[in-house]
Amino acid sequence: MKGNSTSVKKISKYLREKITRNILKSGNHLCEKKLADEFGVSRVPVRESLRILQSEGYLEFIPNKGCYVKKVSPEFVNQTTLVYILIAPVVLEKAIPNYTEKTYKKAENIIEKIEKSENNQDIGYLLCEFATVIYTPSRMKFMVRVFDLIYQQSVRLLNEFFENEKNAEFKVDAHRKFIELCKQNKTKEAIKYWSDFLSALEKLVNPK
Amino acid sequence: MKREKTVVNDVAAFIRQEISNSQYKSGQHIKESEIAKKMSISRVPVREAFRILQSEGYIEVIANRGSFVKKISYECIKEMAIFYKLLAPVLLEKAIPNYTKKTYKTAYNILDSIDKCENMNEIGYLLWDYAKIIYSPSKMNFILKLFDEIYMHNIRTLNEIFELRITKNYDTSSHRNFLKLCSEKKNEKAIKSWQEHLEKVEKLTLKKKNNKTSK
Repeated sequence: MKGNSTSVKKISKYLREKITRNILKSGNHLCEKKLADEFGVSRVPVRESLRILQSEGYLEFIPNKGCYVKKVSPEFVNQTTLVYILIAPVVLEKAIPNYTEKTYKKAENIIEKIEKSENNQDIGYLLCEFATVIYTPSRMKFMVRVFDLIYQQSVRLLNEFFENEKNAEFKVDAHRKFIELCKQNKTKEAIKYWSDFLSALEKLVNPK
Repeated sequence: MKREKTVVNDVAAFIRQEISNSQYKSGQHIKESEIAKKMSISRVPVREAFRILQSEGYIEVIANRGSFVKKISYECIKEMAIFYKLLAPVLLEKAIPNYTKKTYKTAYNILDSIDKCENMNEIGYLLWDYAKIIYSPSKMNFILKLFDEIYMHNIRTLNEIFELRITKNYDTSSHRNFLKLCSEKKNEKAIKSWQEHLEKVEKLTLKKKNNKTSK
């Protein structure tokens, strides 16, 4: 029984990562037996992991068909992009004046990593990191936490989005330009530029 | 659930009162054993009450040091107020069209309870109940969860801004006005009036801060 709970945790972690990295894609079928064999366990802990991930919104069970990876809920996407676009300018207004050499260095490092990245599945995580770097200097703990919550689920969405070659051009040009404007002390312009970028991104991610 | 008549809730109410009355001041160490002694009960319910008060923002528990009356962080309140003001109109736009007769009935009931409320340390929860009624019909669950968190952490703020000296009652006229405009289908006006109300509340909070810092 004890072994089961660590197996459940192991399997859940594995599946969560694979789904977030878009290695297991929306619509993929998950086979209980295959997973059980892969992990060398019975189907019992596998079933429990699948239920856990179902409650977290990653999977759905379709009657008579089985278990499938679920798309990120459109309502979730709607609401989080809305919140994001509303609070980003407010947070940046407080953050940008606190940017230091270190901030810029960190941001540019991440941009380089994204450009060099051949692995599209890491992009979501790197974009997350970029956001942390540009928003944290605001010292607005609550807001930064809201961004964290949004990113937890959005990493998955971002990975999916950027795997599409057509969207690859959005990878980092905007991020570079934003940092440039900040460095030149053009705070208002930087904020406007970033807001426009987010709105454009939102239209692509949220085709209505 | 939180307002059942239980020993734990009684203890929590007692401590809230002590803090509001400045019997325990900001930053002051507050001991489970002291409270247990004062109330002639065991430490078990006191411990539970401490947990509740911690989540409400009255006390903070520092590892290996103990529990202390939390200093109100106006920075934190301001932040949450910004978030709240930005998102309240968004929620209301979606919520108001979904108001039913039941929504109005429940809302007015809560406002009546607020009017009758004599214990200012209960205002916070009633205001939270009211908020749930007017915002949940938006069905925007992600944002609603964040609002819940804001209310949870600001129970103390809500209770303390309205520590009344002049009048004995919390003024629910803005709330009633809002509901009236909604029922007349004047959605935009209703949202605008609510935004004005939120600005007023924020000013009151800051006024209180300035009064407190002069203490």
